[in-house]
Amino acid sequence: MIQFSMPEQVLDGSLGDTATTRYSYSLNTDFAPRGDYLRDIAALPAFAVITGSADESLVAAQY
Amino acid sequence: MVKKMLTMIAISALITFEVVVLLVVTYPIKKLPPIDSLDFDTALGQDLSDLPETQPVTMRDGNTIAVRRYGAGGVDKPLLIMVHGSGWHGMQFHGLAKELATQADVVLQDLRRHGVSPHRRGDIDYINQFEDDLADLIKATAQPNQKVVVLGHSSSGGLVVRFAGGEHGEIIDHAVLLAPFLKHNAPTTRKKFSKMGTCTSATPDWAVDLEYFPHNGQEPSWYDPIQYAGAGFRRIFG
Repeated sequence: MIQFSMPEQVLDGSLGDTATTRYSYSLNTDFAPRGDYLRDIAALPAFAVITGSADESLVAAQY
Repeated sequence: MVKKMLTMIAISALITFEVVVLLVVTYPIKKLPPIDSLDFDTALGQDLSDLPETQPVTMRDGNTIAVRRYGAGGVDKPLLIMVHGSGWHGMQFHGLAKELATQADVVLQDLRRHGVSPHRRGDIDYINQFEDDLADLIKATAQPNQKVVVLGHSSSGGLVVRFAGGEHGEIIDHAVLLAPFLKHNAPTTRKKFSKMGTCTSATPDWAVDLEYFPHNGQEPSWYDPIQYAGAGFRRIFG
């Protein structure tokens, strides 16, 4: 199980009640590729990746 | 005598089991400390005044998920299913869906156990249920011979990758991955996120979680996947 530290700005906002701040193990596992993610990637049909060079979480140049 | 001893052992085991269950059930879930997070002003300031009503779509288990539809559709335009990132819901894509509605038959979904007042928020019945739901949604909304495009943001970028490698992967024609999360130690993931881990549960998931978010020998801190989503929000709406 994981828990998200969502900003209070989000939780206290008008849509705060619609946020989901915790995931069970099953959900968290399903919400990502399998461990051998390159195998899943190899199965993709034609695809596009859109990401930003200033992304705080991901490294665009590594895709 | 033996029977009596076995009875005592059975009672003792039962009491131990009940205590363990009680501890798990009553384990306190601490509120995480506030963090210096991303700027959500633009995302939260989105105009939702013309948000379409949700429509239920029935899944294979008889339960429904909520979708919002944009555009007139037609087989000459692709079906575009947009799947939101961690912690949020389909409303994330409202502005983008309106923009794309002239070019595609757009469907926003709230993933199962997300969105407005879901049953058992944040949990699913089995691993791969999201894949089954996505397959059911495509089958319920795609017209014959219509091209199917699935767009996933952040964790759902990862979900779309997972879907492609799973048993239903052949039913999509194109994928669009917005800042897809692949794995905690993938080269695309910034290290500061891969090193943050937490476990808020006393269930056996504990060991798996620590492995999933390795803490490099440090005391586990907290993990903040919403920042993945936040980065994407800013790209889409900023």
